[in-house]
Amino acid sequence: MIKSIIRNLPKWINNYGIVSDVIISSRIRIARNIDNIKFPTSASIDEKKLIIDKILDAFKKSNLISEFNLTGYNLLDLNDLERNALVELHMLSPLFIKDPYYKYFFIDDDGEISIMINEEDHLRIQCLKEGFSIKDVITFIYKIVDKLEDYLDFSYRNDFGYITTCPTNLGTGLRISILCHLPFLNYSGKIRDIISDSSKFSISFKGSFGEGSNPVSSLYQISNSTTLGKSEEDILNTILRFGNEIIRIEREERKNIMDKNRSEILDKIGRSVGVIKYSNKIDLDEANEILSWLRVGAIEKLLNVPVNLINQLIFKIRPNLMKIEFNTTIDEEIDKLRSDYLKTTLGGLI
Amino acid sequence: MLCDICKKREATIYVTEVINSEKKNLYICNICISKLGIKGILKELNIPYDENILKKFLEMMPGMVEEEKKEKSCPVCNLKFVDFEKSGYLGCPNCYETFKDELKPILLNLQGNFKHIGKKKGEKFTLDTSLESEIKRLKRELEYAIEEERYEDAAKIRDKINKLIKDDKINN
Ligand SMILES: [Zn+2]
Ligand SMILES: [Zn+2]
Repeated sequence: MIKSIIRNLPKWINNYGIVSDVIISSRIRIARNIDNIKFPTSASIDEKKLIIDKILDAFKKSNLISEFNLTGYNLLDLNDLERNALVELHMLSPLFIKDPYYKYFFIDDDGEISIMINEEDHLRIQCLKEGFSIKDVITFIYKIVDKLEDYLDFSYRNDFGYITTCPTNLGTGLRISILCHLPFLNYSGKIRDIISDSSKFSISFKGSFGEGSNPVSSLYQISNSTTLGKSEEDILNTILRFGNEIIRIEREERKNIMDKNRSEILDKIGRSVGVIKYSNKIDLDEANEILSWLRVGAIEKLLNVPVNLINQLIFKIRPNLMKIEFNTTIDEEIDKLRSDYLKTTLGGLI
Repeated sequence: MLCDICKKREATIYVTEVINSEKKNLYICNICISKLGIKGILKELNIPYDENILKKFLEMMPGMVEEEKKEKSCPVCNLKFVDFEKSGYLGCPNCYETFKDELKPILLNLQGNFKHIGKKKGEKFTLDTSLESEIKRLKRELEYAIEEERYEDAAKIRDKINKLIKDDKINN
């Protein structure tokens, strides 16, 4: 199951969602801990085993496994490539795979749900869906979390709410995030003002690959920066409001720039097509930039490429997924294979 | 919670003081503290200065936790407060009881708040989609729009609210 999700990608990448021209996907993550047991960051081996036992027991009793088509894995059962590929697919966290011992996780058949045991908290439950669908996702994810609460004694205090290892997740334990493609706000530089403004709405903005202000891919992860002192619904509304605003201004900027600077954009798209057709090696940064412009071309119908296919490629070209696709472990081969892969996949379409 | 002095920035320091036998919560941001100093803050708020309140302020300032407090440890997991300051991780659920006073200013800084108002343990999460709550939600959006001087959005939201109310009357 896990191998086929890695090869064929999870549903939320393959499907094109509502307003996916701007918001590619929605993710919600909830942190919970069992009362009276040390957090995974300071637990002993026996305590970590106990945490896994208690949670697996709750899953069995609650019927969640069959209800949500979950499959459980010991992280040690996966090889290093597979672990890293799941991080590239946002299904596991980098922290979770850093030390693979006494880690357990569940994934559903569609690759939308992932539940990590012994990450930073005892339990991290997350759900991903395509498009701007956080209202659906939040209702969906609480079905799992609230059901688990019937079988596990979650640590909770009246003053601080749900207890978490790090105080940044305290209270609701709820993190809602949306993955946005903002090529025009990135191109005009207006994104900088939006990012510097966002903190006053308790919003955090991250270049999707974590390397600062102008990611070459124009992909940004937007999420709530606070979890305490607000209700779950307030947090949802904050992201709903901000998401809608982002959609509006990115589309407005797209229209403006396509009216005024059309030839500049056509040039960017044309050059990207050229690199795919005639280059022999493409590194990850270059591929990200190229795919970002091809996505613009696809959305503006300047290219006869489905936007979906570009979404898939944005993930497929990541190093570990490439290695799995081509059954290699040699780093030096990846840039060449990536170039070949883009040529074959997009050949005939561009 | 906004700072009592500038009323603009989120407070990072929280002090409880009894003034004229009345309990009063003071919320101050670190910019006002560094501008006015503790004496200046107290003067601004008409609070008499004494050693006791000065001590309370110092206890609340992040990074100014006294040495003996840093060595304080959780009886359940043995984590010292200084370990938390280094890693950002607490050791066990009981740490929140052990360090609750030390954590409050930190929470205020990180979260702008230290009181949970979300779903309680045992409650099921429901997204209220009733008309009443939809209107409540829109009214809150309207407030935000006006606060942020987005008057065009505000007008649209107001129209939406009026339409919902009108439709409801027709349906009933
Ligand atoms: Zn202030
Ligand atoms: Zn402890």
